[in-house]
Amino acid sequence: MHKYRALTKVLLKNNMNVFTDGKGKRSKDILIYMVIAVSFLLMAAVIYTMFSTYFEIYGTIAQTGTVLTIGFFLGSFLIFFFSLFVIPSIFYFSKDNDVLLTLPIKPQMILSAKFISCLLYDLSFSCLVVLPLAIAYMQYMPFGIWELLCFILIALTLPIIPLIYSSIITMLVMRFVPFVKNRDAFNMISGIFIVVFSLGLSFYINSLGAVDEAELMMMLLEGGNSMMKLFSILFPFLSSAALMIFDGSFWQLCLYILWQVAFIALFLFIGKYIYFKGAIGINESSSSSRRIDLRTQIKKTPIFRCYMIKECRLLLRTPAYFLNCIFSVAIMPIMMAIFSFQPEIRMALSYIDSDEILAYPQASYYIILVILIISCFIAPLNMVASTAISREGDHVSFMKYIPVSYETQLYAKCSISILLGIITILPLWILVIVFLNFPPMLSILSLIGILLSNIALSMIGILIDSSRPKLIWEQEASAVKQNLNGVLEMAIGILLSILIGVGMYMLNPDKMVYLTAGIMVSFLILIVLCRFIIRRHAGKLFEKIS
Amino acid sequence: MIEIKNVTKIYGGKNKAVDGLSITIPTGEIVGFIGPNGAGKTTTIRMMTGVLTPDEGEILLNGTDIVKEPLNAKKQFGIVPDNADIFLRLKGIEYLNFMGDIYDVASSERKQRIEDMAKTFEMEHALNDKILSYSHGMRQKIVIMGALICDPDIWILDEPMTGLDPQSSFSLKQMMKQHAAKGKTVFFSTHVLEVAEKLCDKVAIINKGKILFFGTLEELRETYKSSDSLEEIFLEAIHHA
Repeated sequence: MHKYRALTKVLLKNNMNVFTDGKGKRSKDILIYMVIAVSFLLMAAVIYTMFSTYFEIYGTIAQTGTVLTIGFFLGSFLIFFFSLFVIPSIFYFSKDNDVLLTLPIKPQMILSAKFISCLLYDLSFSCLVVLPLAIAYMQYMPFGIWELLCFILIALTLPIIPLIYSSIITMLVMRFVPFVKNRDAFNMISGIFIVVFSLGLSFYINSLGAVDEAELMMMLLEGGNSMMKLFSILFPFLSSAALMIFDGSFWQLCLYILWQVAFIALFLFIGKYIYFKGAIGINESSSSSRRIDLRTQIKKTPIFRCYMIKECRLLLRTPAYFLNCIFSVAIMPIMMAIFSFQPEIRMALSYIDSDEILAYPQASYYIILVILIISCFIAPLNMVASTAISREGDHVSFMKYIPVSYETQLYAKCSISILLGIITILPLWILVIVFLNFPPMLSILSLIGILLSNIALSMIGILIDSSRPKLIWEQEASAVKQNLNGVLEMAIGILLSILIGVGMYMLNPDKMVYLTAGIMVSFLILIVLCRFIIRRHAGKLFEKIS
Repeated sequence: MIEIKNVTKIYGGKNKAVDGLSITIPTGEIVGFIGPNGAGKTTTIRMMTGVLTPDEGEILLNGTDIVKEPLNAKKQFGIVPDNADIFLRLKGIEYLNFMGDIYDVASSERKQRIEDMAKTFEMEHALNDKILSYSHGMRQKIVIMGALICDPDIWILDEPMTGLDPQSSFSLKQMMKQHAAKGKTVFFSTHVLEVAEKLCDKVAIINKGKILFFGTLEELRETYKSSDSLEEIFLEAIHHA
């Protein structure tokens, strides 16, 4: 037990300080954690409002217990979904595995210590959902010490079964699917699979809703929390969790605990037999041992292009970067295409009379401004610029000792972010141009707006990352996922979107042409300003990076 | 030629990692940079290569100031860093091509050098694989090849022998000798005193950011007559500092 405690403590400490590089100023760290806390509270407030509304509506049709199940389902699904990305890295591909597997301790001990560290990390997700749910419940239903204890128990134990689900899936895949022993291949394929699976699930649920509308209505009107079973299909313990609060049932509490114990036993049993066999022999990548023809492989490329190609290759081949920076935004046009081919959408689009819309005064400029709002929102999502320096990690000194100016290197990195941002929004632009039969001059103007907004935001992103890069990380995913620079660039993008929106709301329609021009000029000024800062201060910014 | 003139680097406002260091490394020589852990070797190399800026003093590489004319100065050297785990998702050949482009090496020269070095380091079959699949020694070799692709006038190596097999280690030492024989400068840090003893024309011993000795091995033995081996001399020099 002593060894187990020591191991869990070390793993927990190792996973802490995810948002800071561990060497920044204490005041800076406190500020970062305060920002996180405020974001957490804001999100909790949104969730509280949502549940409060649900209790009000569903309470009138005797479905209060269903709302509890929905809440617990939301928390469980979030934990299950995100852990599918995290569990393989922590259980199998973590750098500490090489050391841990050589220690004289049982593999189950390593497994359960890692599980506990994941569990404690996921408690934040659990609390984010359960606490607002409890507060909302308190306002509509009798709330005593029993309910309080039940909510605390659920908040602490909710992540167990979702985490066990993803752990068992990961262990089975690692043990029995041969090709996934290549870390890159596994991360890439599983990441794509999870996103495609989630999208498929979402489409399936949508279609289900349409088909069984009558049946759902019957369930709703039946009362007595009849809809609870609908949300307990994936996580069977959820109805016990809801009923022990709603009915105050001690037996449901026992049943809930029994579910948890049974799943933990199953996890340990499977772990005992298959974890070690799957964890040993993980290799980073295999070699082909093929001799190459140098005549075809060697060619001279201009510096800017070769630097861009290098960046592209690293972004495409590093699973964490590909999934977070490229795939997450590249899927948007695909989703948009699927969305636009849905029969209902096609029918709705066929009713659009472009002449009638464009006949409204200044309608074209309103449309351009909406495109710009979307562009400002989408441009920072790829995080290519806002993590450009952070991704260099330990090897940031390479940028300093090669005979290429910082300016060139930053622009080469920036250009990929710009290209990706434009590719992401281009399908929407084409959709608008085609369906609205948009005038050519205004189409070009909106395209220039997209280009300017992408350039400005990418330059802002790279300046943010140059001034405070997160260079110390153990896994590549941390350089992008646990990097506040990405969030900062997104916040600036959202702020710009809001400013444009406020301008549209406040000004008279006849001023829209001036607003459009003003925004374009503002983007240009931002670009010139960023360019000036990069030219004059890039050296100083890099001097501070060590 | 490398000229380090009265260079000081202070961390955190008080900790002098390098303290008024002055040393001139002439062309055509191999100079070993020896010192215990934390002596200031890596900080000195990082200042020489433009990764860090000195707080005082200046560093000239073939007469070019690394602070005032960084790009020109960086074209003078090729560096083998202490950590070879770099650009792991690039293939070996992609990395070499990238370095060739960065240092503006013509295709024909590049091809010839890659062929020669791949043969020397027995890397012909590995160039088409990602660096991620390489062993530590192979990663070290590809980084060495990347540093030498531009045939730099100054070759700086930070702990280059770490992880190399005996054959590659021998080849590397031969290459360092050939490089110096062509009238170029080789400057490397090492902990392996035997390597310094067999390879260097001169050694620089550094401790607590200061140069304790700089000269030929004969001069070193002359200074520390009471000690027999280089190891004993090194320990004596460090203790008497």
